[in-house]
Amino acid sequence: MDATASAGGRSLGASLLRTKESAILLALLIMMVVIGVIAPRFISGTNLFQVSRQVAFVAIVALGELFVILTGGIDLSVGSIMGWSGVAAAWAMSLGVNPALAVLFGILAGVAMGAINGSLIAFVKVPPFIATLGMLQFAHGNVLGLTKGWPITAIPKSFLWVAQGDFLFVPVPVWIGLVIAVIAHVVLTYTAFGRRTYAIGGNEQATFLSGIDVDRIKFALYMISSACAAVSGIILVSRFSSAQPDTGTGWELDAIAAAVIGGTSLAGGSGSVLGVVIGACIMAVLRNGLVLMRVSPYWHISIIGVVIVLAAVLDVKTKRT
Amino acid sequence: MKTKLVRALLLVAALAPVVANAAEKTFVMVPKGVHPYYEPCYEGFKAAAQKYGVKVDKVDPQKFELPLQVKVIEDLIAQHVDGIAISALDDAGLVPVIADATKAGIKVITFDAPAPSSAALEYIGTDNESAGVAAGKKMAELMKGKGNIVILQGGLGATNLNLRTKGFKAALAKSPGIKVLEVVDEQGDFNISMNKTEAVLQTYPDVTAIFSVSAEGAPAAAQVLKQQGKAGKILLAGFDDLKDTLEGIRDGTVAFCLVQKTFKMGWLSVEALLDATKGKKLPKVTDTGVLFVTKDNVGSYMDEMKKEFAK
Repeated sequence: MDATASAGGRSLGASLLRTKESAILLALLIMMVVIGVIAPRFISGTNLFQVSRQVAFVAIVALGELFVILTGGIDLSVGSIMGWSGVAAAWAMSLGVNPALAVLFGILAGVAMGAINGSLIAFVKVPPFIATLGMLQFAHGNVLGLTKGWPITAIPKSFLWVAQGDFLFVPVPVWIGLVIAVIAHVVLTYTAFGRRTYAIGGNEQATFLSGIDVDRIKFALYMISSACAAVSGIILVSRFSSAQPDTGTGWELDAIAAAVIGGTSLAGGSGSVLGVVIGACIMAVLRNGLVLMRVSPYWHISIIGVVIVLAAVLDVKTKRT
Repeated sequence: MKTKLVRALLLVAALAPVVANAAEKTFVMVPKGVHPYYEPCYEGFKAAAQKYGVKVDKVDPQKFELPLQVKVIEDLIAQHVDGIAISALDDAGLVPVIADATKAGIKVITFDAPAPSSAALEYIGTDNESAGVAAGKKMAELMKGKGNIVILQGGLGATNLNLRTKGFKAALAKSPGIKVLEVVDEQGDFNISMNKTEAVLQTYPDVTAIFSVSAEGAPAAAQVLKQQGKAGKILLAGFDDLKDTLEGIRDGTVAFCLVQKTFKMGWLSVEALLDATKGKKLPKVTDTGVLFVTKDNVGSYMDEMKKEFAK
């Protein structure tokens, strides 16, 4: 929904069809039907359970990335911050620290990196691409330097339910993702902070001239991005029952792809939580479907590339009408 | 007069180590990137260096990327080292820089991963195809000659992995009751390995065994099996002895792993480079072989490996 979201007065059905996300939602549903027909096991409870969990990991990071992209910025360091935060939390746990406190520690470690990003971008005016690219190296390098490449496997059993458990037949990470998505949607749609974020993306000069503290908002956005990355990275520690030093490598591309497929404009100013979630679903469903449909593994990567571009084209075309 | 003499003596004393070092050879190990796999390699490298009185160093490319490895080697050429042992990220891609090093008088060998098209004097490492065959034989034994198996591979473009898979499949082909369901690409990534293993278990409910030719496959698959209560029910084994793979062996989730004799690779690299600097001709390939690690020797295999050289 744009900063100029229209007022109510339409029936729910009609407004649902008219939402910008309807095109990619349709694409996702068609994909699921096709895969379900070719490989019925796709629709099995177990498989959907597992795929939804895989969606959650990417969606959480992508939601953080959304906040940053809405202002025309970019955060390339989210993948490395995932690994960094996971290792920080796991390290604390391996020392016997209570898992809840260790999680907090991990998130703070991630947000600290986000604060560095935010300061460089908002206050020192370093272009986001460069600042976060540097952070990508810095955070990952720190992880390698501290762990020497070894995983941390001393994870207390009490922490394993975070990624491996479920509640009401839905994986815990999906619940966590839902909570984050709802919070993100509320912030972006109903708070001044959210509206200003869209405004900065729409026209930063005008927003600045109307008295909004653009710098402070940007600073906060990079901390939000790193916080989301930290949460996902820490949940992955539970999934792996260990902190793997390479966790998160390449995830910035997945997060950005999910956001872009979901209709977020890289120039800033438009994008939605629902779109990002659908984008993450499309990618996870596709990857899962290719294995289940027994497509030759040599073709998986190129097929994924084609679909990503197709989804983005579909989105651009439907926006123009 | 005395001060001049003292100064002269001090100068000689200061220069002596420099002169002595100039006579001492310097060999540098260049792995593919930062990875704990190379630690035993470097330990062997250092241990042999101590025995033979050479200086050694290790320079890691920051990432597993060819241009970075090329840059590292170019820097070493500029520093005029005496010998370089490279774990080649690519074959054709390293031909130019290895040619440059050789022209500069530096002895170059490859270890762990070969660059057969290049001017490297020798390849010291695992013959990947025969390692795959050995693994396949052991797997077929454990499977009692029948069952369905899925192979996990960390990237379909890596020659060493393709050779392992080739050898593994060839050994399995001798058991007509065993069917290879699929070779899955997990791109060298732990999370993807887990995702793909979950998908595989969905796709093939009758899978009885999983084998990974890459290091991260076995521990990732072990996690999935444990989480689905299938640990020990589906046979799992793989290459390399990552910490979590060994833990899997200890708790029974992983049946065995294949360890490359990394310490030996490092040790023999120093011997080969030393021979090369003395003008001796090197064999084209030295197969360092593999060691099987099971519950029985999981605690002692590392020491067994090093004992070969402890003199």
